[in-house]
Amino acid sequence: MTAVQSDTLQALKEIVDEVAGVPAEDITPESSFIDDLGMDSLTIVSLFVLIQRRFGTDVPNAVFDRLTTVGQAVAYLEHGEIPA
Amino acid sequence: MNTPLTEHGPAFRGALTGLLGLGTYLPSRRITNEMICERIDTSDEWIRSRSGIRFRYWAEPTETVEFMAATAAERALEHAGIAASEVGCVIVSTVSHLHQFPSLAAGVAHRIGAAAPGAFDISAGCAGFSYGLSLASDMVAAGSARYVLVIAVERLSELLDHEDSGTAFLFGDGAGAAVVGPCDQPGVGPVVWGSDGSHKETIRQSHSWAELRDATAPDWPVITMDGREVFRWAAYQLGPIAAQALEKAGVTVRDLDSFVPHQANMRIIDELVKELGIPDHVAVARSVEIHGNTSAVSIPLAMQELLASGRARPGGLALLLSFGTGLVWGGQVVRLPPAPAGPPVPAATAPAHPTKENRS
Repeated sequence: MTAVQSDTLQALKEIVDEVAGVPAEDITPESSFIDDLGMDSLTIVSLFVLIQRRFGTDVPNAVFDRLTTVGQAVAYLEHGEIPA
Repeated sequence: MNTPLTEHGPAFRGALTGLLGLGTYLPSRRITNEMICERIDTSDEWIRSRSGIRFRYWAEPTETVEFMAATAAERALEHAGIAASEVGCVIVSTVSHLHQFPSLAAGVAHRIGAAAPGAFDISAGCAGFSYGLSLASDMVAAGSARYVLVIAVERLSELLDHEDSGTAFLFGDGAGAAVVGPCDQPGVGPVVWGSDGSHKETIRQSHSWAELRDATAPDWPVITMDGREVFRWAAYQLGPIAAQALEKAGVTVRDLDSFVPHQANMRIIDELVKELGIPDHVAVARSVEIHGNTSAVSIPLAMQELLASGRARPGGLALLLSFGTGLVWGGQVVRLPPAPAGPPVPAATAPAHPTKENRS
């Protein structure tokens, strides 16, 4: 993992901690927002609002519906594409 | 009438008008989450985690919009010590008065014994109290009326799809009123309001009354809402609107005594408190828990609740912030009215018989 990826992941972990109260050490790229981190649809909205504020990237509903894990969100933020 | 607020008084910019009295009406039928769950496949726990709502009140057939609005108005007049005959204009905000005309305001004005004041309804959904208050304050400041009654009333239970798990639990009925009149110190800050019709489908009546005429008439229209989209809109937009309302009034969050956002959903309120950095000393209205989302009624209900509990101080500065169907939004800083006699209390019973006057 490059330093850039690690920064994005770290920032995302902090946001998840903030909106869902899950400590960073319990979050991995494989963590599913809903199944593993216990987030509901409104918490996921809050997550992407904070992402917008911190990264300046506006993620539309149709996109974030397809980003189901932390790793997928990191990949989208870094490359602007929804991972397969 | 208002308690002077010397430590913040000079900084607060607003019209020389104020909220002189408050009155509310909560209908008699208390609806618990368990009762809602008889019709939708969910639980009390889910409703509470999703919205913060524990119960709401729904009107009986005789608790019509006119009856509830007039009762709240009479209570506000009594609280302000103003006679109905002194009211120069009656503004009613509602989306659940099921007559296209005449206005509900004209009927309410007559019912409370006002002396032929100006009277009209406004349609600004959940932002209706902020909109109406702004109109009232401007009228008083301009000398168009000495006292204006601003009334919000909803019977949203009538427009609910009781099987829609996104909305069935959310809304409650009731009425709230305020008397606005002249003051010797600023009491109503400039409104920050707006609309974005590109979101007009986000919260709406499912279909037009006109469609009920057709041979294959659809069902009774209901509230349709994309809750997640509303939440998203609120999360992005409300913070800057609140900041603008504070700035226009010349104050900061530190100058506030209380924060009274529209009681739409506890999750939105929590987000706002965080985003705006509302300090601990500021009382935050959270009466959505016990009233549900009562649309434009929520702000007067919440103000009364906060003042009656002693957490908000009469004469203190409150930031009001609301948004709703349109989408529209409105917010302003106000000086809180005198303490009410008590919190909003649900009616022990509904009126016994529907009369011609209280048919909605």
